[in-house]
Amino acid sequence: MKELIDRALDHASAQRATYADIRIVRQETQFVLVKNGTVEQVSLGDEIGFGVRALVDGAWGFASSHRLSASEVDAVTDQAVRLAKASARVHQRPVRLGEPVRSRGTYKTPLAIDPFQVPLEEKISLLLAADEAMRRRPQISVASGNLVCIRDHKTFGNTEGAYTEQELVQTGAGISATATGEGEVQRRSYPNSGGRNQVCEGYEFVLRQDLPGNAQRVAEEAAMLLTAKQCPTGATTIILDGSQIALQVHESCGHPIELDRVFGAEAAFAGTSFLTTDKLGSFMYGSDMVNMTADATLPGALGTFGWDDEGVPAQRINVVRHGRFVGYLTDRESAAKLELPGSMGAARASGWNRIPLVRMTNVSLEPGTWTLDALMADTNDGIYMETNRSWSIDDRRLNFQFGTELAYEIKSGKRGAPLKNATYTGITPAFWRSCDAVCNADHWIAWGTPNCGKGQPSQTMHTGHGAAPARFRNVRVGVAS
Amino acid sequence: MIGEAALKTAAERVLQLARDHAKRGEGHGNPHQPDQQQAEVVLIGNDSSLTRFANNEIHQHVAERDVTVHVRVAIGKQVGSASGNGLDDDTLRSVVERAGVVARLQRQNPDFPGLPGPFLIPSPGQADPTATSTTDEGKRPDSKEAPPRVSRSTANSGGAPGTTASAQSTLDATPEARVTRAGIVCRRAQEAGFVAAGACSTSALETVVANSLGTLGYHAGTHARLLAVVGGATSSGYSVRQGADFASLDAEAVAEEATSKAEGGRDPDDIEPGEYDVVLEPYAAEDLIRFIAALGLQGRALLEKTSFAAEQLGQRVLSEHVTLHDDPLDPTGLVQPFDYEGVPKRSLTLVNQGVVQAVTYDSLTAAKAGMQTTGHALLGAGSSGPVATNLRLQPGRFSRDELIRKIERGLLVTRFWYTRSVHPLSVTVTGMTRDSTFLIERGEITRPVKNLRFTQSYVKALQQVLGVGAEPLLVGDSYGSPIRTPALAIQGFTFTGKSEY
Repeated sequence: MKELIDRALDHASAQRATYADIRIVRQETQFVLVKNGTVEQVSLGDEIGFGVRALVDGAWGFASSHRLSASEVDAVTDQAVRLAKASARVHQRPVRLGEPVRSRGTYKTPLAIDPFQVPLEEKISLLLAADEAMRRRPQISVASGNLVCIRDHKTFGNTEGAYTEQELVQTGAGISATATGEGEVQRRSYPNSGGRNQVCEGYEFVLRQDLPGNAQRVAEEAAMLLTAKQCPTGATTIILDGSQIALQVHESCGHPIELDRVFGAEAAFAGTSFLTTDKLGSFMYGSDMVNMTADATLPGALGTFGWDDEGVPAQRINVVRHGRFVGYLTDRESAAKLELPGSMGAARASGWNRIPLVRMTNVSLEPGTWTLDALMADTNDGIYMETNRSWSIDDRRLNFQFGTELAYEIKSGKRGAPLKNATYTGITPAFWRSCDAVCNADHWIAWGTPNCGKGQPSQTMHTGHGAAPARFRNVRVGVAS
Repeated sequence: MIGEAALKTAAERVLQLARDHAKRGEGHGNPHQPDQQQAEVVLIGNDSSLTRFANNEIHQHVAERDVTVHVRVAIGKQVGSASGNGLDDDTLRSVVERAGVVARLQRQNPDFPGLPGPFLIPSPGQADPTATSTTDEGKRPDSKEAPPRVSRSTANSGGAPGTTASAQSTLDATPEARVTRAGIVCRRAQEAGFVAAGACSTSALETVVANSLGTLGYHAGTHARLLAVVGGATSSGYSVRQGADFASLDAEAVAEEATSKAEGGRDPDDIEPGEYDVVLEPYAAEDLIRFIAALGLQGRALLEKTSFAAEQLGQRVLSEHVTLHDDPLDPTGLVQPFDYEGVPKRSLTLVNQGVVQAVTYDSLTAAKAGMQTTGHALLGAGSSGPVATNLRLQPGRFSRDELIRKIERGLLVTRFWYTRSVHPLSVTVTGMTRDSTFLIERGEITRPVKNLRFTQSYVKALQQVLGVGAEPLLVGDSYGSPIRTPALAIQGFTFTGKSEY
């Protein structure tokens, strides 16, 4: 690997690249899908490739290939240089990268149980056991479970002297039950929506979820929702469970703090941001209860690594402190543009064939002081919502609407009747300013969002979000169609 | 491009490796007989480039070369899958062995009907002596008959025999040529006091599907797209042009459409949410068609009872103005002659004047439903279902201005953004308007208005169609396949929230 890396960097430098880097990535995957008692899919993936970035005449070029050979490295580097030179023809300001990055070292995701060493039969049996438990409810038309393991071997080098090797492991698992009847379709998922929760841990994570142990409850809740009351329409107090808070944070904070987005780099696709640079340090994003961080060192979380895809070390920063907006996610180029001391290490590429973009690492709502029971008891009238079902937000990250799988009335501090088709909507800063309570660390979980989309060509990134339940006042619910 | 011969050779090598692996398995005391085993290989060669711009300059410029190998091995009803990338023997062997190991460890899937076929797809330009044959989908693997030869010309909506989906201009497109087109958009935007963002992309995709029953098909296609968002402080506009042919991408037209929409959308007024009649430009109409097909008109949704079309086949569920096809052989679109199981594709009418006529199946869902595959197998996890990938809404007879004149008071919507399903049965979707929305009063556009959020059942919307435009456009960008659709006028579209911009 080192020889190919050095070759690419030397080749780029010889062609007047003022900066170049190369990533070689091998990704192994394992995926098991069980549905209605059958093992629908078991697949093993193993792909490898490399990508070279070159900065020439102040502009970027990037080329990639699956063929690892000296001649291909030369050809791909030539291509990256050519693309950079072509870019420079329609370019207004030379790219600056700030201080050099010379990180060296190795990093491996800490694991108790290597998920790739766990026999497939054991994984299949686990999911089938959960599946069987869910299908005991006659209303369940679809019971499904899935399990994924991913291992990325990443080697990175740049012309400034950085050289890092990482072995990053992810494990994810989940179940869901879809009930049909009474002219309705309702689904319950565990431990998270979107099929599963996913983290940077080993198989110990899967065992902790106890999928078979939760299967019966999941099915019962799905069936119950068929005849539950419709979520009412109006403005009320809501308490969101931690998994829904995680997605709320992802959409309404994680994305608008991507500094490349703020500078317009995503205007053609994912959009821009309402958190313009004049707001840094002064804008009240939320209430005094709201503290948010971006932390790529968070143990076990999905956005944790040793170095980002520009070789910048993983780090933790404050994003919102007592409601005040104080920090962006950055890469080297965007940090230099804002004249920050350096990148905070959020340059991430989804694979060897994609450039690094500013992506979330682990963007979290820090825990508060409440227990969930106390928070419920303290809420006279409202709705408790759990597990995301739908999500939508505008291209500046202001107007949003979310739906959850399950909700309950809160009446006089007690959990009441279940509600179906719960939705809530709002405008981001008004919503976070209405937050008046956050649950404590006992309720705080590092949730994973393995399906974050950005970029052209598109990239799917895996991001983490720590969150505990929280309460919001005067929120519009029950959006009628 | 890698080339037909090289890819077919690799596919045949994979099948040979699979046969060898099966024999070795039997030799090690494995209870399965080699003739119980089936194997399938899908090879995809991808050579693509993208020139991306923002703030009137090129800020990202990327290129990619890859070839992926996807193998399924079935031992009776035990199916294993594996994938890799590369055509070298070590990679092919590794993929085959992993798929075989998984198949041996697997549980039986009683729903697995066996691999479909065999089918032989003529190479582009190859004459087909059996041009009168019809497809013989869903043949059982133990059939002793000679594999039927399927002519694209008999199985399509009018494409010429040997029609190629590859345009030389796309294969030859250079970084400099893409930069030139991007530059045209940036200059036009800058002259108007706006900033342009967008992407100019070119790609060549080669696909081979082969299986142990004798299916073998090769297809090469190109795709070129120029997309632009032009905007300023208070407005933005959008445009996209795409097809197989890079030379036909009209950068001036894209620049003009996006810029003039941004100009017209300057300083929008507030508007209250509520129910409005709407004219949806093709970019917005696309979203309704995509969701209706993906959530309702595919076999998995029917089987899982989440589709609005369940027990409604043959009945009028949508407006009589709605006729929707899946047209994979349309030479003006992005041609796909076969699916990822090698089943030949043909034009399929999903909705005919509002009557739900058909849904899409792959071999697995077809077998479960007691139907024939319609050639809509996707690659990899089938959890999203066998969705249509070449949707075409039949044009009507109204110009855009005539559709607008139908509206007493309503909205002209350029496109929808971040749309997500709220409820699958009614295909209730929420999302935002984007890139300029305009008030229509007494049949005329009067002023721009700020963005709105909608929450709307798309089934209901397509039941309330006032008119269908005459001029279709191939639309769609990053997610899903392009769709060809004209504009739509719809009565009573529900907007549930408003934006401050």
